[in-house]
Amino acid sequence: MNKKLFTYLAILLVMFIISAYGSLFYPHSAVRPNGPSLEPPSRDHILGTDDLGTDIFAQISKGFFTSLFVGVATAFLAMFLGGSLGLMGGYLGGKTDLFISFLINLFLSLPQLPVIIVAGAFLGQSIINVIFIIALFSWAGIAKVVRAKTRQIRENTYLQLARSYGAGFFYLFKKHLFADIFPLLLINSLAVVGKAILQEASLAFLGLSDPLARSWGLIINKAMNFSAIYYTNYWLWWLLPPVFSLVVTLYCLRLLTREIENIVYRSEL
Amino acid sequence: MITSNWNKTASHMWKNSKRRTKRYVVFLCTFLTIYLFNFFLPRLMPGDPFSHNAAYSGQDMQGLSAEDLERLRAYYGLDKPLLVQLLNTIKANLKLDLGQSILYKKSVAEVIKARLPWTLYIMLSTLIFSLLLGLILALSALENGKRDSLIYKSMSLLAEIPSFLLGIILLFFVAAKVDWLPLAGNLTPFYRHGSVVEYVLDVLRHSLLPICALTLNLTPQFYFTARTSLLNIRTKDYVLNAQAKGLNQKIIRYKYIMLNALPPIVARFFLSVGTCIGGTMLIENVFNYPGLGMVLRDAVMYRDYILIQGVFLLSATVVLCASLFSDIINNYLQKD
Amino acid sequence: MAAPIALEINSLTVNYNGGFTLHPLTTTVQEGEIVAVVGESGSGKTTLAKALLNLLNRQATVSGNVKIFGEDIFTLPPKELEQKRSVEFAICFQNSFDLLNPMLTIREQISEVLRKTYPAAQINTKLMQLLEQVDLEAAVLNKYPRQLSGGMLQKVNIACAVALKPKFIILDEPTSSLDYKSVEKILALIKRLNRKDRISFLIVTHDLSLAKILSERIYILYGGKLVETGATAEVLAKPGHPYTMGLISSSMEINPFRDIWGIRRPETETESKGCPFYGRCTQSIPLCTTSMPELEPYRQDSRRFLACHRGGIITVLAGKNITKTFGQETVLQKLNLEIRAAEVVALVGRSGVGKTTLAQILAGYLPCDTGELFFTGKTADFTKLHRTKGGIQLVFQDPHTAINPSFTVAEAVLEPLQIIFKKADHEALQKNLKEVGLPTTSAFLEKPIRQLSGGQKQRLALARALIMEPKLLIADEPTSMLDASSKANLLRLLKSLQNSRGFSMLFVTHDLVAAAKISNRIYLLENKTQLKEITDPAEIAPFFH
Repeated sequence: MNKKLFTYLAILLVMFIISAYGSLFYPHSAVRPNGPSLEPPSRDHILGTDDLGTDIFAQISKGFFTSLFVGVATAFLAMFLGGSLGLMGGYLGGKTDLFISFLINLFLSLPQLPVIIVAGAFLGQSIINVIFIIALFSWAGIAKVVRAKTRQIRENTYLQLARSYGAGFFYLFKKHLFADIFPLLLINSLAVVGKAILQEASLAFLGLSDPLARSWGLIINKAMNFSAIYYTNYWLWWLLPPVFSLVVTLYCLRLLTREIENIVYRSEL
Repeated sequence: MITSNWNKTASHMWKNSKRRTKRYVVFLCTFLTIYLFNFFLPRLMPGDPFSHNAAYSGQDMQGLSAEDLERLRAYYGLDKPLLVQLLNTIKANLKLDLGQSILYKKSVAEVIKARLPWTLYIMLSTLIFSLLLGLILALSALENGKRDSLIYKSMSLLAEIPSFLLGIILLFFVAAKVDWLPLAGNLTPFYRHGSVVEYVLDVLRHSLLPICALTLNLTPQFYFTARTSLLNIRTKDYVLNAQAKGLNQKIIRYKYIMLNALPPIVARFFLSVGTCIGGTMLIENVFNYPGLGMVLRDAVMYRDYILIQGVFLLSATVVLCASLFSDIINNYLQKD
Repeated sequence: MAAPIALEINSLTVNYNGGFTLHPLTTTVQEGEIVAVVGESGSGKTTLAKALLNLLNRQATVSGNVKIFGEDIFTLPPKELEQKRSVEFAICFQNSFDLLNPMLTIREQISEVLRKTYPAAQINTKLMQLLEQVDLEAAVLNKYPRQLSGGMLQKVNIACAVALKPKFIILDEPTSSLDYKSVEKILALIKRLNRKDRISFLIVTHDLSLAKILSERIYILYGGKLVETGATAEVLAKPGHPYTMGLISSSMEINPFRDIWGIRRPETETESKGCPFYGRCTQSIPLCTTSMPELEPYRQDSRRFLACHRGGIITVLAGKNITKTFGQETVLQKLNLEIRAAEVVALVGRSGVGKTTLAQILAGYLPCDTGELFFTGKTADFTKLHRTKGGIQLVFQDPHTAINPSFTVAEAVLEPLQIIFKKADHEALQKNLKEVGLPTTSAFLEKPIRQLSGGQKQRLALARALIMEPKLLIADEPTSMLDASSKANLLRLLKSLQNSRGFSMLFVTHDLVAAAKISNRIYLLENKTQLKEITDPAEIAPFFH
């Protein structure tokens, strides 16, 4: 089997286990202050504490699950929305397709970050809202490829023939469309996981995500807002770990997606 | 074939004009949608929008004073019929009146006017530097397989690091260590610049790292686009034909390969305005650079809805116009 | 005094890692000569054209050397090579919409070439002259390639190639996108440049008629191998290689009257070591699978060369000085003829002129008084030829008397095998009946011959001859007893069987039109001493009236 694929999955798994330890068995809470503030790393506090005395390792562990939850939930939503709209547009054609294509182009041409900031500002910043908003601005890319692929398949004679025999949509979807569209949907949705994590982190960094959900972006935001951060060593354990975790997670997800894409592409050859 | 030629050309021209019209229609529809989205957003919030959100404020959110709430309600004119509200808004917007900022106690237009140049400066410098850098990298590796694979790999690595994290890394590993690089701001505060040169140098000093962080993040995009395009054009028959004709290598390189490889790169440039605007807003907050990004963040923090809407409308319009330009210029380049 | 050599190719070989190969090729082209390189798609002709001017991409490994007017193209420094292009030699690639830079106007793209030699002041005049030569209007100059039709683009590309009057020009399918009027103009241009400026041309094409009109010499390429070369007129009139003959039979332009028949599909995979044409050849021997034939002189002609282990298309049957007298009367006198492998030859003449007598002599059923008969080069031993597979079989004129009417179908067809091998091969019976279009049901097999129609009997006679797998089938007026529709069916059947099985056929008939339709050559028996050979179908046109 694929070595690279395993490496990336293994790294994510290790992060998962460490974070699971940090959230379940580690003695400190990620939300309540539980020690003196601004402690350097010690046996008790692996990565020290922040200005309010909350344990940083506990926060980062919780942040992993926040990120994962945001990423996966957003990807599912975007996959559902983009997949069904793309399929509809590509399969039905005509006015429906015209409308869906317009929606796709509209959402693709919007500047994502400002829109998400504005929507978040008006709709409130609970983590669920953030997920919905990011998903709303991620489905278009998926829909675009799914629509194009569906249209391409629809042009094939075998589909026209099957329809002339009286096949309904569900039959066609199961027998002719699914096998071609699913890998495409999967790869593009996987890509959304990383993008969503990054966008949530960006929002949190600006202080515009859910202030109660401990996400990596929020830790970075807190650290950066601590005025003495530049002149002390605190950034080494307060700022670097969340940045590092974020970069490693994004990398792994990206490479994982690319590897799966390679495998799917190769099997099609 | 010869007789059908003129028909072909005619139908081609007709198709073009149709495509052109369609492009403008799509642009207009998109703009209208954004405008309406912007208009309806505060009006769609459940209950009394402003008190609702004020109550929901988190640790950093400032509540709005009763006076501010009053002013907001007056501005949005929520007691009037929707259509009247819309018409009033359009009328005001056409006069470039975007309302009054609660936070800055100034008109939104004034706030934007003061901050926009800094954002534009960062954005345009980034776009131009990334374009040049990406193009040079792609060109330099065109004939050299080893260098190509090295650059390709490092660019793939670089492309994955989000610009604001790059900014933070630069801030702590470079700015904090080097004396002459400032940690924040666009100008040295309270300092009287002796001459224009000194002023310019101060601006450059402050903008160096933000631009660097953004450029590092954006260059891979241009590099990939340029590389794909150049590789694609290089195998075209007309390049081989030019070689067979014994044309000068320089002519082949510039008039045949570069010229034809350009349209996707130009398109990339304008499409990157969209990604760049988001990146700039984030990086401004990393370096406390007083552009629109910081304005937007502050406006959200202080629930200055009028300001939020103004900034959003402007940035969305800029991005939309950029993508329209991209289309127009590309069509011009492709001799339509 | 010999003309200088324009092009000298010395064991030029091209290998792609994908596996495609141009086999070693050595030849020369004289100054002022027009030669054609002909082959099907994939025969390597475009690869050859690109290799000659050092234009192959890096995936190709090229060895050997190419000299154009004495300059070695592969060792010349790149800068010098670049300077000589368009000036001393040029190529016009196979037409496509992608040959010209979409970003530059036509004026710019022709001028680029002209600027290599002419000062700026002369460019405009030269441009106008060129346009005039290739029959384009000045309006195209300010257009972009995408605004022109395929034919116009082709003319622009030809204009670029001839712009600086290089002494050696390669044209790859120069007329593929042109209408017939433009073709005439371009052909005239090529001929004029050739005559007036002594420019040598290498025309790469799949179109035999173009080669026929333009070239003095022809190269036939198959699977990257040069299989035959010689003066164009001679090669086309008397092809030496089975592939050349196949090409000629498939060419609509060469055969305006005759039916066209593609070369049969390969029966077996060609081994890379052997002759590339092996699988489709009708006269291959075991040697053909194991070694590549070398190019050797053909028929003592100093200009003709051929690469074939069999020495080219073999002569299946040759008759020399055939004379026949019945009592006092001389029926045939000193006639010479030959039938080559995989060829359909028609023997045509008025009734009573002696066709049937000649056919029966050739088939070995009637001895001749003087003269000799050779079968594949050896004196014909007809007893043996009639009794072995791969020999000669005759289908007689009258099917009613040729088959015992009381036999059953199976008995009649199997009779030769029964007599010779003492056993009935029912598989062969089924196969041959099926191929001649007769039923193979047991009811039909048991049917007595007398119950069959004339057409069915004729097919049956054919099946009986074919079951012996003859190398030469002589059919004496096989259609004379048939109505128009059955006649058409039988003629097509005969020709298609001949084409797929690859035997030779002598088709004896008084019907010149039918002969012209299916035969490669015609022998016209005008009287007892005159046997006229007709190779060009145009020659028989006068006889139709």
